[in-house]
This record gives sequence, structure tokens and C-alpha cells, in this order.
Amino acid sequence: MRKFITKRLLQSIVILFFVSFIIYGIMRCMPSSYVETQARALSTQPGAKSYDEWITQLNEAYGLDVGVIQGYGKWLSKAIVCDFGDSWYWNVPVTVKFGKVIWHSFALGMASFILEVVIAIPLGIISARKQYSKTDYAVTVIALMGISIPSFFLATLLKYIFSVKLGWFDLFGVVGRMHEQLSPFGQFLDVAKHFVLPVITLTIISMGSLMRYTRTNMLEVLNADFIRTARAKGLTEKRVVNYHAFRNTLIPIVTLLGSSIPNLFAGAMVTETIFQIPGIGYTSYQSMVQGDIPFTMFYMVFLAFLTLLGTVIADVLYAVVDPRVRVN
Amino acid sequence: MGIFKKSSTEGANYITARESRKISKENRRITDEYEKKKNRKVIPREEYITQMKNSENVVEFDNLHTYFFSDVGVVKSVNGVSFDIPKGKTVGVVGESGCGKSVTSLSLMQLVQRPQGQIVAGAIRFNTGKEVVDVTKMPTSEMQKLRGNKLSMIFQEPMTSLNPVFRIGLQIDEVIQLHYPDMNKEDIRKRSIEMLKLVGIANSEGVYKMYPHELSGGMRQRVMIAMGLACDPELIIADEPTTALDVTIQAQILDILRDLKNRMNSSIMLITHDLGVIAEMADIVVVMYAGRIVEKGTAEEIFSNPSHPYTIGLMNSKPAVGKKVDRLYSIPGKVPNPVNMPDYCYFKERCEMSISDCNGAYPEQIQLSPTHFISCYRYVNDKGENQ
Repeated sequence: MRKFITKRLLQSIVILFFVSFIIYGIMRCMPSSYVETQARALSTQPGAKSYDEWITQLNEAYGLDVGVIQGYGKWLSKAIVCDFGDSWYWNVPVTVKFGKVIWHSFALGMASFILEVVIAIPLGIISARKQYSKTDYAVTVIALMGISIPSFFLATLLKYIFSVKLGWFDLFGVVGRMHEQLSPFGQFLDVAKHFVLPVITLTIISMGSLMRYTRTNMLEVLNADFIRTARAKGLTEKRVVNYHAFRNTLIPIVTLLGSSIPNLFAGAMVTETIFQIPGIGYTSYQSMVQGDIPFTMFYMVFLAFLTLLGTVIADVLYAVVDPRVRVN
Repeated sequence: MGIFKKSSTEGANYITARESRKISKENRRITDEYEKKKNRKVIPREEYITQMKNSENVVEFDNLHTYFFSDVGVVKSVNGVSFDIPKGKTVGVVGESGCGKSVTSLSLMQLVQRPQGQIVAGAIRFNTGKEVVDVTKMPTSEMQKLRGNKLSMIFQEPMTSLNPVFRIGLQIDEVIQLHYPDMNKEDIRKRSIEMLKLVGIANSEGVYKMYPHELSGGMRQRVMIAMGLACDPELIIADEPTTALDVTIQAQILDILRDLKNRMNSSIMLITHDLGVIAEMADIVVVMYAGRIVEKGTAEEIFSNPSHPYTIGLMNSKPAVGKKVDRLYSIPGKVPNPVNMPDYCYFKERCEMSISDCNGAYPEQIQLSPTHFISCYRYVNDKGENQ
């Protein structure tokens, strides 16, 4: 097992190298670079140097006067020792900006991920057990509604009902007006309260697919021969479903969940924007639009790293739940 | 405007969506009724406690009807089947695929796929040793105490019948633990290993710790048998236990079954389409065709004096050593559509010996000898003289 994991991690490093190179190449090829925008703005100021003069100066300052390969080499040589440089757009070190915004997104992602798993898997199992019953149809309809409703619409609807009409939650933001006066625990509750609506939004949207997936897999497993064997042994229906069938349903679900780990850090741009939560979704979008190469590079490589880690974790978990793929 | 005229699909080989909807709605109504009856909170014991007709029998199937309410119509998988399984005997059930042999055995285990599949009439009386119960009327919770304990089943697909994510040991332990809750862990383990030894697994301690994918098909079938016999059942249902195995393993598995049957003094209901297996194992043979019994008798009677044209056809279509034929015989035609069964003898269309009487209603059962029964018009008047 250890050999397998080491091998996979080494493979990941090679993949990461190429991924980061491709991202860098794309960033450099973007039609409007950060430097060009800056030069254009500076040259329009009264008494300024011409655009061409500015652009040569800025290119030199930002290290864009070299080709893509040299530029990448320069980035890589620093990135290898964990120096990701300063963000051009946010004017702070990349890691500082990232550390500031990521936790909001992570909290959002984690909370909705846990809720999603806790709600969707049991619902999927129930609707598979009672296939074609009223419960099944109800669950399926709710799941499909969750999948189909756009997040901005659902978020607005929730805001209208719970903030405007009922006044239970604030409309937006992560802290209330009295945040500074509260005790540390009170502050935590305050933030948690602000996260309720965004978490509900994200959960409803992501729940449907996992529920359908669980249902399909459970149905397949419930029709398997070994389930009939389990029933023929005299086991109760509860034990048949929750033990014999569930352990087999876990195999595909674990793969799906393992690969959704990067989603915890990916942020949710639309939801974050609507609730005005300063998360990574919003920040990374801004950086990308502005052509902020250091920040975008760091964030994209970070996501690529998590994706690779996610697949390794999924593989390991796969071996944990399915004895057939255990490597000796 | 011929397009808008409703065309009739009568006699066609398909049904329209409208008809299908109507059928499913009707099916839903019927099955809901059965399910409601089945899912009652309290089912009084008097309802399913009954008496055997003959105390020498362990199981009596009495006019069993198991129907499947499908979207294309009602499939009468088992349509009035009656036969007995005497204590300590092996009863072989033969017939081609889809003739209802497996459904008969699943009905006995109450494992018919519900809600589509329902036992609509008849009784299955089972002697548990202490009392006699009617399996068709038993609540599921009571049935669970019989399954795996007094009644056990060996399935035809050893490759897929064991749960792939659990160790062999756990799967055998589970059934012992369930039916003997007083036994401690160590005793259960010992019993499982002993069972594995009993079915001829040499490395029983090792196999106990293995996963199903580490075993061959024959080994898995042995494990299935060990699991089935772990609680000393009164009746073992072996549903084509050797179909998926190669011939040498087949013989070994059959030997094990026969040996264990004698050792435990239980009965076997052996379902197969292999007449060779029947000849080797069975004391009594039941020949089924399209959900009904066409002939039943002792093995000797069936093999030395096959009387129903279908049985004769089956005998002829089996390869025999020392008999030289150009082509192996096969019964012409195919099984009638299970949804619309004819009201005359189901075998008439394929029968090479049909007579004018065969156009009448489905033939009654005729007794040829104390143990030999047959449903065929050819024997109505002359009691088997005409052969």
C-alpha cells in the first residue's frame, strides 16, 4: 500500500509540473494583460510618458519581458521553495491574501459538504428501498428541483423569505453590526448565523446529484444475487440494507466524495457574491479578470494539487471499502 | 382520415402505451391489496398455523399460484402446482428455463420479488419440526426465523451469491449467530470452520479469513452449501447448484449434498434442468412445463416409463452414452407466451403425439400408479396402456 501511495504521489508531481506550465502559458496568452491595462491607465494621465514607454518599463518591472518558458522557469524556481510572490492586483503577498479569504470559503464548503452527505445518502437509500413509491417520487422531484434551480435564484428566494419577510438573518456579509462587542463565542455564533443561508443554498444545489447517484447504486446493489442470499439467511430487512447493501454502495460513493475534496476550497463564486462573503471564489475571479498572474498561478496550482490529492485519497478509500482492489 | 382511426392491436405482438398504463394501474390496485394484507401490524398465529395432510412430509405444495403483475400483463409463473417433499427424500424439479421451478422454490422461501410477484392462491405447508406453518400466509418477521435456519437455499450463481466485501468467515458466522443467539463468538467460529471442513474445503482456517474473490467457483459453491447447512435445516433448496460449475466440480458438489443430506437427515428440493443430475440424486421427480406440473412420480417411474410427451421429449434430448445419433433431438417450437396462456394443454402446439381430445380444456391430473401422476389426454381412457 505504501509503495502504491508513493508511486501515485510521484506521478502527481509530474502532472503538477505540466498543469502549472499550461496554466502559466494560458495566463501569458490572455488578450489583455495586467501590465497593458496599467500602462494604458498611466499613459492617459496628464504629462505622462507614452504607452509604449510605460509598457516596456512595466514589463521589465513585472518580469514579463522574457518568453513564456523563461517566465515559467522563473516562477517555478521560486514556487519550489514556496515563494509565490506578491499579488499584482491585491498588492499583498499571494499567500497572505489567500489565507485571508480561504477560510470563509472552506467553512462554507465544509458545512455544505457535511450536510450534503448526511442528507443525500440516507435519502437516496430510502428512495431506492421504496422504488416507485410516493416517497421515492417525492425525493426524486425535490432532488431534481435542487439540481435545476440556479444558485442565484435560490439564494435570492431564501433571502426574500428569511431575511426580508421573516427577518431571521441578515441580508449579507459575514459579521453583524455588533460583532466587535461580542465575546469570542458570541462572535463565532454571529458568523455562523451569517453562514446559514449560503450553506442552505449550496447544500440544496449540490444534494440532488449525490442523492440520485446513491439511489441508482443502491438499486443496483439491492438487485444483486448476494442480497438475495442475505435475505435467504433470514437477516432482517434493516440489516440487509444497512449492512450488506450499504457496504457495497459505499464503493462508488467514496470515489465520488474523494474527488470532491478540491470543491471544499474552490469556493462558490455566485453564492459568495450574492451574500457578499469575501471568499476565494470572488477573489480568484477578480484576480483572473485582472490578469494577476502570481495569484492565479498560486490558486490554480493549489486546486490542481488538491484534485490530484483527492484522486489519491479516493483510490486509498476505494481499497479500504472494496477488498477486491487491495494491492498486496 | 385513416390516421385518426383507432387501430386495434388485438393479435399483434405488442401492446399500446395506453393499454400498458391501464394494466399497470390495475396491477397496482391488485398488488396494493396483497401488500396491505401482508403488511398488517398483527397477523394472528391461527392464520398460518395449520396441519399436514401427511405427517411424513416436510413440505406440501398445495395448488400454488404465484403470479407476476407485469406491465404487459399477468404472468402466471406458477399456476396450480401441487407436490409433496417427504422427510429425508430428494425431490428433483425439472423443466426448461422459465417454467416456474425457481419461482416455486422462491415462493417457499417468501423471496419472490414483491410487490410485482405475489402468491395469489394455494398453500405451502411446512413442517418446522415443532409445528406446521403455511408459508404463504406467514408474516415476514416470522419467516425470517425459518429462513437460513429450518429452510435454506443454495443458489445457482456461486460467483455472485456471496457478498464481495465481507470475509467468508463473517458471512457464515452471521447466519449461525442469527439463529443461535446464545452461542458465544468462539463457538460460532469453530462451528463455521467445522462447516467449511464438512463441505470438503481443506484449508478451512485460511478460507475462513478470505474474501469471496479469492476463491474459485466450486469453492464458493461449497461455501454457499456450508452457509446453507450451518443451522441443520429440515429442507435444503438447491436451485441449480451445479449449473455454473464444470463437470468434475459438479460431481463433487452433488456428492457433498447427498452425503450431508444423509448425515443430517434433511430433505432436498433439487431444481435443475439437467436430467443427469436428477437421475443421480432424486428419489422423486416433478416435471414442470409453463408453470404447471405435467408429470410426477418416483425417479424410477419417470426414467423407465416417461409418459408425458414433454418428458419423453426431454429424455430424448439428453445425450446418452452408447447411443449413436446424427443430431441431438430437440423439442420443436417454443414455450407459449406466458402472458396469454391458451386454455387447452400448454404443450399441444409442440406435441408430436397430440390427439383430437387435446383441443379440450387443460387436462386433469391422471393417476397411472400410486405415485405416478400425469396431465395428458392420451391417458384419459386407457390409463397408460397406450404407449
